[in-house]
Amino acid sequence: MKHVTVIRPALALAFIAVLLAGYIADASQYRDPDKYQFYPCSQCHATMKVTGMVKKQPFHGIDLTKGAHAGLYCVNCHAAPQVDRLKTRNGYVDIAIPGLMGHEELMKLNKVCERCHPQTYRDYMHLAHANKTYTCSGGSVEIVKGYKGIAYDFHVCSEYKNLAMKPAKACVECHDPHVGVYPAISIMPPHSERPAPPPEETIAYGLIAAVTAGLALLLTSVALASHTSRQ
Amino acid sequence: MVEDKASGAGLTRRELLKAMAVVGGASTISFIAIDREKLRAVLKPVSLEEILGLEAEASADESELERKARKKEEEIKKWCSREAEKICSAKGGDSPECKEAKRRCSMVKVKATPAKPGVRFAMALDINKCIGCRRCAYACVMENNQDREMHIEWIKVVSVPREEFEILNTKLDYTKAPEKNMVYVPMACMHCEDPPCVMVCPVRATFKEPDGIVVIDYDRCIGCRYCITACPYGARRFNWRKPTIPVTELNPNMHILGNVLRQPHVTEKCTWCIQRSRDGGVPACVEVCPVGARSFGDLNDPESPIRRIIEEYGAFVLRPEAGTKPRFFYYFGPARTPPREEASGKSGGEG
Repeated sequence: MKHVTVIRPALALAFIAVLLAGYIADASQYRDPDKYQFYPCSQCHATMKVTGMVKKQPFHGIDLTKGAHAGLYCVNCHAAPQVDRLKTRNGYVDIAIPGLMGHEELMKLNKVCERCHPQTYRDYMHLAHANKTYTCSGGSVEIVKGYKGIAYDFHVCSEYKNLAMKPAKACVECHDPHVGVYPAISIMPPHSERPAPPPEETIAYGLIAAVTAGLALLLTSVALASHTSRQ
Repeated sequence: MVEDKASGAGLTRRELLKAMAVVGGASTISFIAIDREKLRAVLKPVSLEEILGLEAEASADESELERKARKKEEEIKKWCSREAEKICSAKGGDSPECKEAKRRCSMVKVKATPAKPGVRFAMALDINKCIGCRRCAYACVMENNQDREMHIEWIKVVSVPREEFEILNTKLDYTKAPEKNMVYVPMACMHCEDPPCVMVCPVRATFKEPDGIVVIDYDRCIGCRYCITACPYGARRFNWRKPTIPVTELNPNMHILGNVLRQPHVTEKCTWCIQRSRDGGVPACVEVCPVGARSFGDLNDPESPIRRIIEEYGAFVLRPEAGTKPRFFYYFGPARTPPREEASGKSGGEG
């Protein structure tokens, strides 16, 4: 009975969390919220001792037998026995859930990715990998529907001076750590509305114009010749 | 004969005139000497600035470009408020369009930020990552206040077969992307080291700035379109008529040599978003790219993304044989954006 009383509020929380995730633009745009169940991690993981070479976790819908991270086990990134901590190159960092936690929290997780992807991480830190953006002090960004329906970041700054370039997203905001490769289809924008040029066979204007002009020239020369001969 | 009449007064006429001239001159001199201050108030002395064509009100620390930018800002604000009034009277004062238009008008800022010494801008694009979505071209239209009706897009994206990379098989009007056997090459102004457009301009309206950005002075451009013909990359566009820009979508962050509103019959092109990059920001195409294929930075800075890319992955330019030395680099990055087929069944895209 005690077990059931713990699960019920947890389920309610999960329901709210899924609803929340649906409203957060990034989560709904890039991920399938049904696949993830968000709970206060410590509720289960404080007492749970997960060790060993686990590859599947059906409760969270995680299957590491496929995808780009197929070669890994949970403990490659999660610090056992409490799996709500993640390993970095020289320490640990608390877990953060994309869609629920803020950008700053998620940025801390970049160090976890660095352990196995040092090259990409260096690219990322040099602003050569991933999305970039800029900020101005006291300014804000409004996402507006722009030309041909694309999402355009409208920066509201007082002076538009002393801007600072920085990475726009944390690693986990684009890449699902449990799948690894980001599906291309979800980032496809609308097609261009530009009309295709007409097929080449239908372009006959040049020929007609040439024939008409040639005839006009011929007639004029004949008329001029007859006129001068009469004189 | 004249002397006869004047001799009646005991003076010759000549003497009288001389005396009058002396008296008049003396009184004028004394008047000027005495009432000089008053005279100064009546007559406006000419200033050196006026003679040299500069305005008297221009302060010493304001450059000519800044003065021009200030004037342009006033002009644009006037135009903008007129347009906003039209929207407000058509849709009502409380409509969101009216409020947005008024807000954008109040935000208008035309800058004349000069080039920072020691900076050399460059851009790089990862062909392995680009998915040919044309978002960069569309965001560029928003950012740079381009005409919405003439379909002027500063960036054009072509698809090229991946196998042979044959220039003859490029397509500008593809409607489906990304495809597995294609790569996509977005092209805009390459900001060449030796720009042919600058060489041919008869009025020197287009020139290269010290930080490597090739700009156009729209007030000097006479619309001869020599530069369009000279550019080997087809990067320049021409305003055949007055650009149509909705005030509710106006980008208030403007630079006098960049996205300031253009008059008809001038050439325009990419300026690497001079209004953003000169002040430390990132160009709009780089920001909007959903796969992060574009990078922008300072070539002289060893920590910049461009240096990292060239050192790590190597880069090439388009049409090196043209001898223009472009500063827009293309490279094949470490990973390709996954082909579309894998996820094609999931959804039809967000659009």
